[in-house]
Amino acid sequence: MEAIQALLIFAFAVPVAGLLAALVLGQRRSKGAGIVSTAVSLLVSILILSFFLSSGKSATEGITYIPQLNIGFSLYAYPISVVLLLMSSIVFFAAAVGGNVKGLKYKGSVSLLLLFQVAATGLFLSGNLLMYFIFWDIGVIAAYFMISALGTGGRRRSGMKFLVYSFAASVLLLLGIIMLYYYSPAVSGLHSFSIPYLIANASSIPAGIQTAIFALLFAAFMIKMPIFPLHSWMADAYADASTEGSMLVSGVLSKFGAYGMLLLFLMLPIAKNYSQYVFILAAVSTFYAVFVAMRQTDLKKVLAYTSMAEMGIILAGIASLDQIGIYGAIFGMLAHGITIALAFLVVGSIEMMFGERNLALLRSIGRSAQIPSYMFIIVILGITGMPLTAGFIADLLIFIGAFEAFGLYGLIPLAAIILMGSYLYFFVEKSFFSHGPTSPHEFNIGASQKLSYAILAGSIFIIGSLPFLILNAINLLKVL
Amino acid sequence: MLPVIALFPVIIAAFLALATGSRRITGHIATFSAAVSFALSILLLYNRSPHSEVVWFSIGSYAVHLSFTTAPLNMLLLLIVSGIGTLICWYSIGYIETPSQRGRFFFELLVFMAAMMLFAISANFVTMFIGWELLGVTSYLLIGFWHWKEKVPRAARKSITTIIIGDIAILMAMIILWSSYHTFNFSAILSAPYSSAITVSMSLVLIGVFTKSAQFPFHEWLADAMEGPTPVSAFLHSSTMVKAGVFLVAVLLPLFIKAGLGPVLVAVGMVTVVLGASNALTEHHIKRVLAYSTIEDLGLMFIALGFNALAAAMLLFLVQAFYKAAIFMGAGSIMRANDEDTEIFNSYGSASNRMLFVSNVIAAVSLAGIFPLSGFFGKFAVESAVSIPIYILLLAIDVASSAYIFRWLFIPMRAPEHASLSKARYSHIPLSMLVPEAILAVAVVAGGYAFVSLPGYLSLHPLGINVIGAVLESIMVAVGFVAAYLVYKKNPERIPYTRLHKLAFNSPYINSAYSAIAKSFYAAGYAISGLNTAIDDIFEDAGDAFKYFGSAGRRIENGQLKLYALVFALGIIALFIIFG
Repeated sequence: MEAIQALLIFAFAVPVAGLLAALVLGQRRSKGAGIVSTAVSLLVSILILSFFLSSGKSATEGITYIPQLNIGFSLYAYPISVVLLLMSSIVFFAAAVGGNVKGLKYKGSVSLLLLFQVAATGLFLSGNLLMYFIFWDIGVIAAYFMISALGTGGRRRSGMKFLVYSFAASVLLLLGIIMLYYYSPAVSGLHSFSIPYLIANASSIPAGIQTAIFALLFAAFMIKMPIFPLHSWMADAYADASTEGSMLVSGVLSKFGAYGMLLLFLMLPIAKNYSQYVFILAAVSTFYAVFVAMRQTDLKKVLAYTSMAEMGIILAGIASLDQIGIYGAIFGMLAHGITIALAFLVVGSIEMMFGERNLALLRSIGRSAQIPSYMFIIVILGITGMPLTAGFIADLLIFIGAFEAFGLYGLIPLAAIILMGSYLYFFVEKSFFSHGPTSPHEFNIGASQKLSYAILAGSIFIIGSLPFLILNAINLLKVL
Repeated sequence: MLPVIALFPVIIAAFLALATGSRRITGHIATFSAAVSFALSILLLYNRSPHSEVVWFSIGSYAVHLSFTTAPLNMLLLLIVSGIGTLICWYSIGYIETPSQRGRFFFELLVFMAAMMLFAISANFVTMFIGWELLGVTSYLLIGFWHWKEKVPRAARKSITTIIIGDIAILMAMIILWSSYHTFNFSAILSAPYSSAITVSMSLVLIGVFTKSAQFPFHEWLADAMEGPTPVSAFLHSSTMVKAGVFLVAVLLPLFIKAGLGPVLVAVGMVTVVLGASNALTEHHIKRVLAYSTIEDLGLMFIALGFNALAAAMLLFLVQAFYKAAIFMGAGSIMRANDEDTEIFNSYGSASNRMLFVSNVIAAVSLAGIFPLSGFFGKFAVESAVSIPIYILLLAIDVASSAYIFRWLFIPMRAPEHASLSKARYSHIPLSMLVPEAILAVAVVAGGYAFVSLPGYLSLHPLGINVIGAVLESIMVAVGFVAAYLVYKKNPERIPYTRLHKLAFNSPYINSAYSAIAKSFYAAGYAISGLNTAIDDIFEDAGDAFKYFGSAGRRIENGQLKLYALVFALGIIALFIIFG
């Protein structure tokens, strides 16, 4: 066994062990367990990235437990999974350190966070689609409880809405996966769920069946990303989840869908026939989300729709089916995950300080809550794709791909970024750095939250200034 | 030696400023480091390898570089930025009085300066764009520096929301150029064969340039940016930020000419010049007068560039930096002595501080364009380069600009009610606010030499001297001076408002056009949010429908055996009827 294979197993084992420890330990100590476990996970994912870069080739590791059906547990390190693993590890670490802003229900929140991490690690590293499906559902369960048990406001209804949508997606996903399994060519009588195998061989599925599979899976991933018009669960779920819940659902869970969408486009050649329609849908979804976002007053909903707009841009990159565009989409998933997690952490701090996140009621909070306010500016920089933040590389590559594929029409969604930046800066003007009476309290945020800010903001700038660290890995992906 | 080394002192000092914070030494460190950067920039003049690059990242088989150059044009800007930046830091030592603001101010100011220096030495689109966008965000933070004051948050937001339009336009242009040429390098694109991609991308670049350099219809943010601290205004208007747009056009000028965009530059520049001059004539805010004057200056540079007169444009570019920085510093000092009042009619006694007054006069005279100060040569060079109709228009503008700047000079000269108090206040202006302006005033006087030397340095044709033109220009300036003298020096009362005044002071109309656009987007947001709620309702109603069927079914399954037996019996009978 090579080092990277051992690391793959380790990457999966660490959150499992952390989860067990958190369940066994008491309220206070479980937080420590969460931080240690996620820190180790982050370290492992950085090691996996560096081993992957030095060896330059993909690696798998796994066992088969139902040999008759060729079903097993397998981990697969290749450019997409390595990058997404890194993204999720950063977000999990930051969420474990600073996510539980109010400091209540440590044990529940830490165990759910680690359960979520088990799901995310399993899903991003999964070498076969059945495992992908299983971890998808584990992620849904973890997210459901983060909304419904740890959330605020109308958490039960929002959680249920999320669950209904998610299970609809799950059913479509399962159907699609099973069809892929049966209609892809068999090797010595055995079909396979293996992702690399399907990427190489799914092209021989008859066109009619491919269309059906494409429709099923596309709808499933559309719900998860989310993409207009199947997005209704999103705003409520993001708004009512706990702080770390919002960070994780927006940062990581949305990537379950985006990753699946990317795999779908890489697997099925029929996707090329629909790519321009998908691109139009992505553009519509982006502009739709932008226009809805500018009318929200709940800061979390503003960010939720902004996140949805960004997912539309990522879908545009995938739909370009151009090498650079797809590289951009992968980079975009990384950038979006970290940036939006930072955004929801800011909301967490503001809610803790002012007991309020309604932008119509928050005024001039920049003076008493300096760090969160400047962090919010960093979020805007990331979202508007400022150079030296991760968002720039993503936007640049995605739209190079979109231009190659669709010409000048491909650049239309970029205009949405102007609107995004504009309304976000309007909100800053009205609520953050605004004229008006300031709160008499000078708020200090705790060391753990400061660390969490440093992790996320630091990652945004490090990845944005040294993009080759990530792009050297992505460059190894041979597409199309 | 990588030219980027000139940035290091400033960047290091920026982070030092965060560490030293409120201590007095912060400003001194900043000034010293800026001076070191200036010295390094001078050393770079003797750099033997003008181009250097490092790979930033690669995508597939292509590499994207960070490229730097010390070509003459780039060195000109680098020297202006680092030189004036040093003086601005020095001025800020005295200007920023509240210790708790020091760390943040110098951090933002130095990053701003570093961004412009990076922009100055960039040799490809990506490197340029890093500097370009950093300028945008740091200027946003600096304009909004006193964000708790009235009007300030709005001004800051206006600048960034205007600029972001241009940022995205330039990003689009970069993408189009990359797809056509697979390079971001200026020199490679300049020497590439012409294609329609150039026309499209250069039109997009122009949008970016016009937002950054405050040209019609994007010019209003610059006047509002006056809400920021005065050193920022002085820096922003003389050498950084607004000059970035002009400089980018200068670097890529052959492409604009090839794409046939010269007339666009001239037309937009001309409209902006008229708007700038007319608003400057009627504005009451002591700094906004100067802001509109900058808008006008930038318009003149674009007109020169539109006529492919690079040497003339760059001469004005250089001399404008000196007189504009000086005059803004002067405005800041006058405000300091008048309780930070921005209303020009509430400002008095500006002649009571000799050093300040002399510097102000030199800067204003240069701005008006009086021989032999450098401003004269700048304007003269531009006017010699244009076509006859534009020339006639520009002569009329000469009258206006001379009139508004002397108006600006005369009104605060009036004697105050409490002369001794005012005199004491003027004498309390710290030296660090006076000496930098005096140094700039010397540069304003000496800068005229650039008329002879600059074209040679840039390897361009020397600028010709046309005596009739020079005399004509001087007459126009004199007319403006006399007008200002008669109206504002002799009779310093406010002149009554007339229709003409309303026409000239048109900035409120342009601002309401802006808000109409913003409101239309907001209204679209309202409509689409309504649709969003409707979609949400449809899905929720579908959920409720299932619930309804569920409860209807539950009513049947009510546990009453008699009912079950009845249904069972009916079923049996039905089966018999059907199959029997």
